[in-house]
Amino acid sequence: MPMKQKNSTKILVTAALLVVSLICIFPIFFCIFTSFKESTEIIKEITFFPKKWSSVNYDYVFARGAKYLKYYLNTIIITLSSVLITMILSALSGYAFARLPFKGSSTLLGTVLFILAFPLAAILIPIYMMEYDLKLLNTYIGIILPNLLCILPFSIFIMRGAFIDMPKELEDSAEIDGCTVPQTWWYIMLPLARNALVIVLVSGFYNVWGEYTIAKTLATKDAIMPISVALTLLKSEDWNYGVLAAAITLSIIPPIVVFSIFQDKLVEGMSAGAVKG
Amino acid sequence: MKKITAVFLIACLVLATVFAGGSSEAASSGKRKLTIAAESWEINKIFLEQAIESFKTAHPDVDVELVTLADQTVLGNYILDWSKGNTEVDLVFLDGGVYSSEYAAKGLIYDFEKDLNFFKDFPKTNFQPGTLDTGLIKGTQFCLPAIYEVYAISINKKMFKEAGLVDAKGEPLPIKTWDDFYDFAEKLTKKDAMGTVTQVGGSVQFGNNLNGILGCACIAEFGNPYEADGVTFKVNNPQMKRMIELWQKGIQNGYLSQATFVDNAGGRNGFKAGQIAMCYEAAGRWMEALQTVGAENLALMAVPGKDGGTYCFGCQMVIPKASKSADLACQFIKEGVYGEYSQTHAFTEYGKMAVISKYFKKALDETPLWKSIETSMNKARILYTYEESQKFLTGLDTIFQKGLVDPKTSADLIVNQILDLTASVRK
Amino acid sequence: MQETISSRRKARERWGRLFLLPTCVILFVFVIYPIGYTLVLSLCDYNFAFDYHMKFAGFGNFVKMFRDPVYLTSLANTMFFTLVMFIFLVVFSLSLALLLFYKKKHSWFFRTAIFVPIVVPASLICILFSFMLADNFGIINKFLMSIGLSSWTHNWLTDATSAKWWVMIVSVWGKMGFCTILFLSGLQNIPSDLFEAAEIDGAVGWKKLIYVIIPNLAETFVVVGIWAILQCLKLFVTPNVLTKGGPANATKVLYQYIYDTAFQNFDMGYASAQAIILTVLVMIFSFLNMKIGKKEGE
Repeated sequence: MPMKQKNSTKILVTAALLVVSLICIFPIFFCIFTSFKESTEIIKEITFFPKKWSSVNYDYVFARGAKYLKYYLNTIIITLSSVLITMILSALSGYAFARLPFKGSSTLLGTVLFILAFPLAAILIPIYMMEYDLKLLNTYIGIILPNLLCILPFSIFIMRGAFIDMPKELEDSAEIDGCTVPQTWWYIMLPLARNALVIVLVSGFYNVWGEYTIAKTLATKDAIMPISVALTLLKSEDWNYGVLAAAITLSIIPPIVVFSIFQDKLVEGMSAGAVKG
Repeated sequence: MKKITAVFLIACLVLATVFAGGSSEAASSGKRKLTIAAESWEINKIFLEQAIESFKTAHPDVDVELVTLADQTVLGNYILDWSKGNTEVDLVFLDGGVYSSEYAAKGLIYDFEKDLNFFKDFPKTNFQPGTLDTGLIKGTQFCLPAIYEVYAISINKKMFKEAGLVDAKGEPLPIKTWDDFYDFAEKLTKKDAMGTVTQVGGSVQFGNNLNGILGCACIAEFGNPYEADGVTFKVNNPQMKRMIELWQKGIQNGYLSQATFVDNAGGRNGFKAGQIAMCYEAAGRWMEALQTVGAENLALMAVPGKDGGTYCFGCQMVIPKASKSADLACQFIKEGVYGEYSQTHAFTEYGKMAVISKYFKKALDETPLWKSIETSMNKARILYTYEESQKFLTGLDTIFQKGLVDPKTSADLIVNQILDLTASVRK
Repeated sequence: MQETISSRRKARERWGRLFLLPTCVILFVFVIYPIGYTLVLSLCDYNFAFDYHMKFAGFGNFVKMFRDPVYLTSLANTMFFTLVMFIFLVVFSLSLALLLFYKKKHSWFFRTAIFVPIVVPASLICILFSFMLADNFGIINKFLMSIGLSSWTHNWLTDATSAKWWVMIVSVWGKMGFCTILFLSGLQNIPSDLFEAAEIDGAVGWKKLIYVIIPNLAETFVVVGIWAILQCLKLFVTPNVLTKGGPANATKVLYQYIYDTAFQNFDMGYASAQAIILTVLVMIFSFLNMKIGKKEGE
């Protein structure tokens, strides 16, 4: 009897999970299927699966390649640069917070925590005005630097958590061998914090890839616009949902791929970092 | 470790691209340079890229750059730039004259007539009558229209036939009054057994430019849309109140689509998809439906009203006084924007009407549908631009989107709200 | 010996400062300085596009705010969204985490499916939702019609009430995964002997949840809580792309209004004052959450 009960619970749980999972991925698959439909089919016969698979939308995207490719390129440049700068900075400051304490470093850590909770709206206005004066509006650097604010604090906490857990003996022995602090950091500690770095990379990647508010405010010309903003403008201009779906499909694939590869590590690390933070 | 080093190298590469990208633009070849800024739809629909190509071929000594603007946000930057005497653009396309009034008030843009002598070798008679008025700001030619548009009702003839709303020749019955519009919408609306709307009678653009929608209705009824003060819409009268009441009834009974409330493109997309029978917004909408609805099923009708006119507006061009290439910009306007290719193709492919008379007439003769609202077009008028027009627009949106769906709000109340709003914005 | 240790410590401190220098510079330029600037701006009348200089206005902007009906509407909307979304986020993600925790084996597909919305750019998915929810050719209305429920069809985004709900649904859809991850790891960190002990005491099902799981998740609750509140108060992308704050301001949130005031009307002073209030709200809520979490943990 108890055995049977357990089985039925199991089925119930699986069924519930299945329903939720399907709801979660429905829009994504809808997008992918829509991108293979012809435009008359999309608005006249509303179906989930395409009746006739057609690549016409992708042809269009690639034919007007220059425009869409430019958006992709912008996204890629902005994302990679932000993530890489973040990796370097968070590895440095995470190590400093964990292992090189000085007077006032805990106050600084508190400040970083504070920024984590700070609404971007409050600082975007001065940033906009400052960038106007410095002629940084509509430049990559002008978008990359504010993007750091969104991902840097979290990354610092992840890195700090990783360094704090490492045995102190490692450092001591390195120093006895005559390593300077930067050498210890680069050759001994950083390789050990590889997992944390991966988390910083992946979480930074998808956060910046889909970032909307900053780019919407600071990029007003489409030569510099990332895809997350550009496509929302095309929504009212191009009104061709097939093409839009194709472009969306192409741009949600990279973060999904990156995420699936690192899923386990990421889930583990994000939670660890968040709890410690 | 290797991985990290590799990542680091990529970092350097990417950063190098970023910085290099910034500096390569500065490279110049001693040619004169003309920079043009426009929104993406303007580039496509006025065929600016083609115009630039032929301009470059005709003037090999000039380098032309095209900057795509995302939306009007950037225009604020221009005001700052220009008031400091700098500019990165020489010719700007504006989505309506709304923003230019600020530029003009501060003396940041050229008066085409007096400052640039534009009409000396390009007489005003070249223009379709009335179109130049769309570029006037308080009587001065601060803007030139690149193309212009009027409002009308696009019609799905097939649906009219199904609903029996056609004359002996199979042509749709005329919409003479807003009561007709409402009756037709009711007859054109189809519901299934459960009472769910499967085909909507009509759509009015309630999301994007209610200033135009309301103003156009006033023009169609009275000719002059404004009261004696010249800035307040003639809405406080039985005719307009009746119209608002009918819109309300239409929305509440499901005869009029609500889609435009949150999505500007909701009405035209529904029309294009063959689910909406009448679409009251810019007249060019029927052209978008050619592929899906079919040319034989489309018709165009003037906005109902005693006077029979319509509202016209243009996509405007301005030249900042800070520009060093104003002469080139003028030349580009004359040869490129006002050239045959841009003017006719914008008209025949996208319904953006030619401002140059000869191209207008030619394209009009080729398209019978346009011909059908010619009388209305000839009575087209412009609307006054408030200084705080953005505030006025969002205010109107709110009034209508709230009032139309609420059965307790009377047309009187809506009219009073409009009058209050008008009184509260800077003119 | 003593001296070398102290000089070593000094050296490490020096390196610590040096390591933190770039981060600090960025934080100063892009956070501390802007915050100060926002504070100053909030006390001034300054239209970025049309005024050459700021004019000191005292608390005028703050007074104006509470007489501005649009501001009050967006404040009310933000509060409503925060409250409802917070509850939904916590309840849904906790239940999902429990389900995933229960089903340890063969859960790769479920985990991926539930976590994937986190990484999908929110603005793009909103475009998609606006298409799916369209009055006339949206797949959701079409689906309802095709299964004979045509009386359930609705103008999802153009009706004020349902637009509000859809904004929340789409936001929860995108944010649920992250909370689930946090809860799941919280669950995995509960020592297994606690479960065993509870089972010996005869605790099953709901009892186990109440007596073992909830108390041990207090810390996770705080983290999820703060994160969720922040996300709800900072809600911007979903209403901006899905409904543009419409119909008739029904889904206008504080963030959107700040954005409109600042970057459409260029009224920087007024926008800054609004931003300050939003920041204060965020601080109050996070603080409350921390307090409540601490109490529960004790």
